[in-house]
Amino acid sequence: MSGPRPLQLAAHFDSLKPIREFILESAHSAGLGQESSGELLLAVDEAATNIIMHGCPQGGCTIELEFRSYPDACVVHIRDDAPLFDPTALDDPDLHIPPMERDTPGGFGVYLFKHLVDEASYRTTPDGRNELTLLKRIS
Amino acid sequence: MDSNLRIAVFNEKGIVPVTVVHLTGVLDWKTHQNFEDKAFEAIAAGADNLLIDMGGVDFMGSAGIRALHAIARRIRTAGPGGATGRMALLNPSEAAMRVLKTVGLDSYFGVHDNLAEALKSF
Repeated sequence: MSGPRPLQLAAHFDSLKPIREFILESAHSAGLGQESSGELLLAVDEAATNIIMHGCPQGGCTIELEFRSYPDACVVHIRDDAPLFDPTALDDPDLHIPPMERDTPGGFGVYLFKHLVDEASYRTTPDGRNELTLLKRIS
Repeated sequence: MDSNLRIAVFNEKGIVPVTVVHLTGVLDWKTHQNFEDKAFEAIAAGADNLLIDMGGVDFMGSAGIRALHAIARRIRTAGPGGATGRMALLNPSEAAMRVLKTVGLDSYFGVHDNLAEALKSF
């Protein structure tokens, strides 16, 4: 197991660029392929965006990203101190409804991060924070 | 990866006039509103055939879905007398196509590989 030092940033849209750079650099160092790296990048961006938009819209929260590299997988732990919420428990949007027929195109962010990784799991950390764990296998 | 989105709007003449909205950069929650605003301006100015050129999109998240949704709903009544306008996508980058395919939008919009083919589709 290896990985860079965890990244801590304010839960703000300005943090998405350094979050994306952190994931891309970490995935490259871990040897994750281009397609898988792109999928993991999008998944983490959507998870972080969800925290910024829905978990802590008033600001003042911190997002922590920990990237772990294993021989067969990359794992990203995304922790935040917003009110406790399990995004993996949300139902998927019904993709049989043409998106343009929907009044509001909601639910796609969570759908994306759940479906672009091999495993997505949630827990509350011992110190009372949200922790979303995304696993992408190295094929 | 630049965190900005550059937007160029210009007109092409195919079988009918087509307004091309060319995107370069990052389409996320910081930039999607600017994309929507530029497309809405074009529609308000009379554009009823919109071609969104996504070849230069370095990164796209679910905000891109929201923007395409909003523009597509607006264009539906953009034709003369409220008739249906049309919208298609040109050459989506790998990053854009990843989102479109994952949520099934690639089969909803017309997606074209080159400008000439796209212009003929209107």
